Amino acid sequence: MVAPTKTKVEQNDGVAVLRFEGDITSVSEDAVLGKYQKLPENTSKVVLDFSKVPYLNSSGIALVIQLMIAANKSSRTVACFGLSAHFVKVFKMLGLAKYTTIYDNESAARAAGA
Amino acid sequence: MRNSGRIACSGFLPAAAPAIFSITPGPPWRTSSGGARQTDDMTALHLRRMAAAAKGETAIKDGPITTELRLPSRLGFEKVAMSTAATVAELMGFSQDRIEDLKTAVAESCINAIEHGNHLDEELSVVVTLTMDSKALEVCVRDHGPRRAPGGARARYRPQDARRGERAGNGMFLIQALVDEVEYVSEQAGSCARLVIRLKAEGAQGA
Repeated sequence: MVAPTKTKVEQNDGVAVLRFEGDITSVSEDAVLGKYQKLPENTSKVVLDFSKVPYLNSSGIALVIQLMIAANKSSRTVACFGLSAHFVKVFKMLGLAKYTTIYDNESAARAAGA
Repeated sequence: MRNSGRIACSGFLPAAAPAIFSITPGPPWRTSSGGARQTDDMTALHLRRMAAAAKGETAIKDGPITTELRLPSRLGFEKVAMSTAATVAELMGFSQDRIEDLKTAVAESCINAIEHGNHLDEELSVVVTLTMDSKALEVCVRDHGPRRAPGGARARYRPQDARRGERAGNGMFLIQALVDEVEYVSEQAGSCARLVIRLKAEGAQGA
């Protein structure tokens, strides 16, 4: 019933883009944390693409928070884009602004801090 | 199916409690019962009211209208409640951002009921009752578990509390933050999370 999340990973010059596709829920651990944990050590920036994520619930957001906390501990920058206005609000309400910056589009997310 | 006034969509779920959808004009405690003619009359009345609401005539003069869903305790089915709540809220004239707030709050309440109330037992149903009137939409999410009071979850929630496999109170926090009123009620056979969003708040926000 709950479709698995797919994640495509693109890496270039220390920047990793994780492109999520599908709902992010409690069953998305491998797609979120699993993919993050496999990034090479020289990754300095992680860009999260939510443009193909129609539904995030609190369990899924908890996984994203864990990813962001792990990235912050490794001194990696985290940038997000592709979130709907509602989920931008939800991310801010849940305090994720402490761990990431949310951008309107991919080019802005990639360019930030470069 | 016709006599009960309910549309069951359980064909793809042989082992699960069926998802059932019904609409009942009148107070929330009334249930659709009786013969096909009564059901047809009630459906016609309901459709007239919905048509009036769709034209922007959101005032519901003849009392509240109730829509009820019966969901199996399987994760993913909260999306059925989300889309139904969104449709009802749209008919009432809520703005899109308030509808998105409602969808998230309803989804989180259903997930709580499925996981913590019914412990993912698919033989147990989660019953979602949506009651609309001229001022507000009330959503009650009922399960078979004991009452789970939020107990200040809003104040306690911190992002760094998120741990593997746990939602760390962020679901409760979101429910409280996204709707106008939340109440957790113990009932004889379980518990109910009651959420309210008001059209008055809509006007206050200039929507």
